[in-house]
Amino acid sequence: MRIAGVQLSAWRNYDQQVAVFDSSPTVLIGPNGQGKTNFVEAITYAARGKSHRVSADSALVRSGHTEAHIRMRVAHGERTLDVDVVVKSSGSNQVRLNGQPAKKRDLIRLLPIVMFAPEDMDIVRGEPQARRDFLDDLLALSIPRFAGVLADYDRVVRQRNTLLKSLRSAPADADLSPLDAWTENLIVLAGQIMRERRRIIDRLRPDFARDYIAIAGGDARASLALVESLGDAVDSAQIEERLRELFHVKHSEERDRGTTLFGPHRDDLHIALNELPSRTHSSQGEAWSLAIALRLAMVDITRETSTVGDPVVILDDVFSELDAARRERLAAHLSDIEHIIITAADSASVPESVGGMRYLVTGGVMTRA
Amino acid sequence: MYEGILQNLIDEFGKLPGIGPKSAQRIAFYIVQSESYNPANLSSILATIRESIKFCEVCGNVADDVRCAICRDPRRRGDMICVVEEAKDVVAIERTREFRGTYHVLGGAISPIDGVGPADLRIAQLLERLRDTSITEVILATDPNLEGEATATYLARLLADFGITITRLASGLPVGGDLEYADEVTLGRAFEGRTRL
Repeated sequence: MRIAGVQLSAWRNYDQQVAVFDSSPTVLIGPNGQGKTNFVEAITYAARGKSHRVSADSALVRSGHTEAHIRMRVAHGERTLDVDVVVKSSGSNQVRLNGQPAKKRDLIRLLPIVMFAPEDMDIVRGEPQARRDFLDDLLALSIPRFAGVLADYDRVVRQRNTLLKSLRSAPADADLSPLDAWTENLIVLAGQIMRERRRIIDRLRPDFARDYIAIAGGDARASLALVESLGDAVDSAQIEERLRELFHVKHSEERDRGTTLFGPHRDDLHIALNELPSRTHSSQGEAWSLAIALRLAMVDITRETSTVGDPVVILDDVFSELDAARRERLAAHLSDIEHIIITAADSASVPESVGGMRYLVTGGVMTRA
Repeated sequence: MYEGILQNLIDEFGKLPGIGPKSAQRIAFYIVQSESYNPANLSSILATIRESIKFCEVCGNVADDVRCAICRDPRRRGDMICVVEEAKDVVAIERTREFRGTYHVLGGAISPIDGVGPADLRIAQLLERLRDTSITEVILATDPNLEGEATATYLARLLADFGITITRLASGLPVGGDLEYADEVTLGRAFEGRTRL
């Protein structure tokens, strides 16, 4: 898949911008704070219905305006798809696909995108949430239905936590049957998510190890393991049963703490290099290579499962974090991707071998270099 | 912003569900300017609606008497109760003419985030009705969303010991639709609930 064109109005620091892309890679060059990341954020917003940087849409609309528009045309072979998103500073936004109203959760299967960004360092070194987000993005990319399952699970957890908090002040003999109803629905969704996470990690593992060596060189062993809140390895067929047991045994502790203690929202992904935990033991360079290998493995898996060709790969300010050898290896590894979009403050950080069409971004205006 | 009373009218419409700022403005101007429209009818209905509307003492549906038209109708089957969230769901099911039993309107669904628990719904009244041993089946027709499912799960467990058949409406493909445009969740449910031919 490739992005044929993007039209922005009142988006972030862009007033009106039209960009047509007829070749790959697309390289956006400009000093920091001029709108490179804002531009790629518009692309990911149109493909996901949400921003990877902020949770409130109001920050996305140019000041002095009440709504922003993103229009994007993507092409896969002879087929084109027009995505039209209206982002309102207050109220819900609207998504149209080829002029027809659509739901956000339909977007992901039609517009697979993998973005590499400086924040990816958090997957290796940050809190478990960053790793769960990575896994969930990967799940939704490879099984589009899961975008909905994950959103449902999130809401069930919030409902259940609210109920647990309200039970905290309730008498000891309070009626727990509404909690049981939420627990049962949570278990059904949790079981699906946990089984698929296990499957996707098994699938990710070999690609991740290979991609790490491809980027970092050498022969270090990069490995992945899922650390589940269920405790000791539970057979996939027994996940629901084990969860039911835990919720039964630990319900008073859950009530005391007012939060759901078991389930995929409490799991973590253990990343290791030569068996040493990367979160605490990796060097800056190793951590970057691990983060990039994870994204590359995501690209590999998405290429296998996508029905619309390669995912669009976005490298947002990533080359500057790498040494020359790793830059070259990363560029070489992605050279056969149909459409890559690269942003960089300094054009010298983008390897010569990348080629492509260059654009300059200054003050919310993009021009062909 | 408009001045005074006109803006007040627009604001009032804007508080209603499904009416955004533009619609609120359009309706307000229509009321103010249209010569063919007489707002007196609307205002007299609005003035008394809350006092005059009744809810059926049996099923909780909107009624013009102590009991609603469905509960009064001797031709309706007394052995089946269809449990729904809102009175508008009764209207939707009635349009099908498939169901000849009676209804029970809960008045919402369990949603802790919105502060709605079982005690806020007409569940005690449902249990009261089920003392009548001629009732053999309860159909749970709450919405197929998370809150509706949780409510159905809760009720199914609560009613498990009553010796009544508890059923849930099927989820599946919309009739007249295209399989290829069905979303994955719906299609997945339709597979789960497939029937033997």
